[in-house]
Amino acid sequence: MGCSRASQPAACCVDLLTELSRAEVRPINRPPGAVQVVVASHGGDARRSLSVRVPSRIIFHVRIPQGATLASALAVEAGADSPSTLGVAFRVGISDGRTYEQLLDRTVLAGDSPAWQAVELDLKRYAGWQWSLFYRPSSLAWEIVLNAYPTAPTSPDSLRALWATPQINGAGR
Amino acid sequence: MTPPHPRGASSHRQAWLFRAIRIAFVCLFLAWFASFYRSGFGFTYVLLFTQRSADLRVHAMHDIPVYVHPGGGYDGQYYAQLAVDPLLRDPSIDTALDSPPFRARRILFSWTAWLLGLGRPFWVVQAYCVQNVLFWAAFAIWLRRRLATNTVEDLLVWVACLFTPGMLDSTRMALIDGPSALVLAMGVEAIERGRPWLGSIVLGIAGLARETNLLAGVSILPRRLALRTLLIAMGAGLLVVLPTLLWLDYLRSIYRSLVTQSLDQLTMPFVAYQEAWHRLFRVARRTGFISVRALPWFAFVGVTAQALYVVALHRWRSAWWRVGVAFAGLMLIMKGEIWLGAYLRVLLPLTLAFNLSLPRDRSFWPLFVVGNLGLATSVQLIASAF
Repeated sequence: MGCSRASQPAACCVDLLTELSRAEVRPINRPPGAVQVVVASHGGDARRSLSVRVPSRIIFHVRIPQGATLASALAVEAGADSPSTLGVAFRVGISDGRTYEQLLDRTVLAGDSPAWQAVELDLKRYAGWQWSLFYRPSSLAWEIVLNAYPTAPTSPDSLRALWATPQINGAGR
Repeated sequence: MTPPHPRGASSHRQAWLFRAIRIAFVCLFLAWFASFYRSGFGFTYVLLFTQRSADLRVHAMHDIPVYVHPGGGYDGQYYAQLAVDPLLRDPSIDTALDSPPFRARRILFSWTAWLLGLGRPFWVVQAYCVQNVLFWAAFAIWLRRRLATNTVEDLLVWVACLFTPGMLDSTRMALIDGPSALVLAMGVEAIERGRPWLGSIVLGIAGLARETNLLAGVSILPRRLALRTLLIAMGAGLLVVLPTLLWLDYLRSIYRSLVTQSLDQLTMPFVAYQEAWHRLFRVARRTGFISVRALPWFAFVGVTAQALYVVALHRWRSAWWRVGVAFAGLMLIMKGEIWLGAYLRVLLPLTLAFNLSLPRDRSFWPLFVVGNLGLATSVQLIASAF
């Protein structure tokens, strides 16, 4: 597994890697390189990825296209001396600034098989026409929240969470 | 001039006596409620605000003095805050309430308080605090019209319905159950009187007070199967659920998937009921059945007797019977937490169905006494306030 600086973004409706510069990143006080876009290889499969120290939270402000899905793949990068049971809890949520809904809660351990774990989350309820008199999701500004927490206390430098090519795909805006 | 007929004079005196007794009971209730008044705080004592809730309260209530209880709080503090922001426009309500979608589903009496207080937060809060008394008074009048004769039996049923512990709990903690029982009762009565559309609209409104009130929708089921009556029942059923569906749709625009939060209040039949029975019986036995701590067991026995009696009546043609049976069914599947005390409020419609179905023969007395064992709790509640 290796990392290098990222190059061209993949084509998609909303590429969260290109949105990173406008995203809110927590913790606010963090060392350089705590959050970076890299090409990470996992199980021989190299992908443009968001590599973050854990714990971290990244909040993307996005307009969600109709019929959208959020796709990414997850992996962890642990120090050589880290136990195989150490890992990262990946959580994805969506918020309109008032109500937060969790869309994903998945744990990836350092000892898991060295392959990206694909995730695809349905965002259809957050855009386009809905069966409702009051709910107009397309008029709302949404926040997509990517959270990563260590499964056990650990040195911040010994564990990183990788979000490969996180992007929102959809039929249109 | 002819002298008044002796029997007429006697019944006139009797009418006055019954009226005087009823007035005395109303005065007792008002005096009991007046004991919750606190100088500088009005009746906000009944909201049962905790310090934490007071600190986190919705912005529109920040300048309104509320009485803070040093111990635990209760739900009235949340419904009162909804009353000052009845469309939940201010996001500060999301941190002020323990479970905003759950509380907001029961919005009706926050709306009535907002209307009574003309939308001014101070007055809205005061209105919310006292509206249980207003609805109780309306309930007393409604019951008086229903129990129109001047007999000891009618008087006792009137007292039992008005002073049942569920009703007193609703009043002393500014909850929604007492007022909600009145709205439900008016809806069921309209259906009983052959006005299914009006009754359905009223029951639909009652559904905005408590989702369990939708169970009263069974009262619109046809008395006998026929195409026309089935079609009316279906249309009326739609009217019953429509307000709740519309309001849920509005709440969904705010809370989305969280709108169904805390709907998991049911369990397998008899599980929680049986646990509650054993728990309360153990406490009562330990105290020899003569302590204040034994009263919850007596109330529990009373509610059980109500359910058994109502089910045994088997009066399909009676709207109240169907409502009673529906709530007897609910009683069997309610979760354990509800049996810790709230059940007397949740099952108020069953208590009403029971008392309004009591026969006027010799069996009245034992049935009345056993079904209303909970009134001992009411006596204790009132006595402890003075």
